[in-house]
Amino acid sequence: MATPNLDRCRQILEVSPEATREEITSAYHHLKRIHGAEPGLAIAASMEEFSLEARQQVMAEIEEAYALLKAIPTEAYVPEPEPVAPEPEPDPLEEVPGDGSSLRRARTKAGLTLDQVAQETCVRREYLKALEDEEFQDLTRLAPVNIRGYLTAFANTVGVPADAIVPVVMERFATWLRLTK
Amino acid sequence: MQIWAVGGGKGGTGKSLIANGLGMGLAERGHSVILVDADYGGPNQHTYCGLRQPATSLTDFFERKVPLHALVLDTPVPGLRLIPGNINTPNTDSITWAQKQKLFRHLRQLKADHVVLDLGAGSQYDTLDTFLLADYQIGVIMPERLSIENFYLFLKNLKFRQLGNMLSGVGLKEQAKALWKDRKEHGISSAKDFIQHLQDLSPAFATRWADEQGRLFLHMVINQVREYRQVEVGLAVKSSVQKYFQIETAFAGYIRHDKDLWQNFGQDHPALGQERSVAVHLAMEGILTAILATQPVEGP
Repeated sequence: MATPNLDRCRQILEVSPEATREEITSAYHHLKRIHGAEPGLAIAASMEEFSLEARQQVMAEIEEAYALLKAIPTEAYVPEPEPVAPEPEPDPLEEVPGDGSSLRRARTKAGLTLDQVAQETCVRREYLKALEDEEFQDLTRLAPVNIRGYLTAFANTVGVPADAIVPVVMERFATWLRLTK
Repeated sequence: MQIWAVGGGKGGTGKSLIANGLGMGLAERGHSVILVDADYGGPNQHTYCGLRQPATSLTDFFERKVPLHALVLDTPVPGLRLIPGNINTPNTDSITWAQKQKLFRHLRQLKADHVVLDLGAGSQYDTLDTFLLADYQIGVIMPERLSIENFYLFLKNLKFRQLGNMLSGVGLKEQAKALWKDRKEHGISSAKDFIQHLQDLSPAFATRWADEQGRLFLHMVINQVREYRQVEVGLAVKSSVQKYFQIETAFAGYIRHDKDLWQNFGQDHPALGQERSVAVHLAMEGILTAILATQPVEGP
């Protein structure tokens, strides 16, 4: 038998010439789902093109192509990266930069009192304090959209980039909600 | 100049929408584009473009022999012009085969970077021939059995038309006809078998046929997707087109069902304008980008 034409095999499996072993395997399973089982929606059962023989022939080609590609030594593929050990899960409420306390630090640094910020932002003092202290239970009466708005105003007033801090605090608020439910 | 043809068998799958979206997208990229509404059975492009009463249409080309270039109308979209379909023809059957052929001969003389053809439903010879001559060939389906079945029939017709045109060229037509008539005796049950048989019969045919395959590259678009499972149906159709019809196919993308789209028609603005239908507009952007990333098919 002539050297198996691997390009043709890749064509049958509808993958690129650079496809990794994993991509080839997943393409094979994808095609098997389409062409292997009972005629699905994509097959027009009434057409002679999709006769049982034709479908069997298509599936046989797929099987053969996959068998040939699978037999290529692993070195022939681009080496796959070493698996990296997953990082230990951090405590979700552990202090990280960007939380409410950094709002207090920024406020103190800017020489502003909570009352001044309240006046500037038109947000009630106790809400601002709750945000700083991350006393989330004092915020549960508010809709998340309001909390987000207060946070943005707070951050802008004390000169902290809102883009950076708002998602972090909101995420922590969501985690707190989940844990206290 | 490049010709784009949008076809695909069943009516109502969204060929006009895709043709319009492609024309608009190309115009937005700064190209000069002419949309030609060659959907004789259901011309709609003028309504897509927001032209309520177009002054001229293909009816003038067919009935009054007005040259094609004189029928090009401006649309509200800069860079996008339109030749409206035969909206004033009372009997579409009266448009002869020769007239349709003449129309397509004249297309190449239009002055534009891109001509986008809305071909309409069905598998008539003129539709198939135009599709085969286009530089970008776009097929539109909906993720449901009726549309998929008709799409396959369209492709089958396309393949046989391509074969027929070519067999005349190599002087094999009569022989092939006889072979097809007695196909059972020769163990031929599909187009694939038939072509294989002809290839074995004539090396000249085999060479020409291989060349001719470069003239067909299908870009598939799925319209009116309601859930992701239906995109998977589309991908399965794409694979089937390649495996059972031996047609090179790429999946260009999908458009989600838009329940509010109907409200955009009948006014003096383009229905797919960015501010009207952001979702369709964005999806069309992706589809156009995918198609432009491929090579146009080789010239005949």
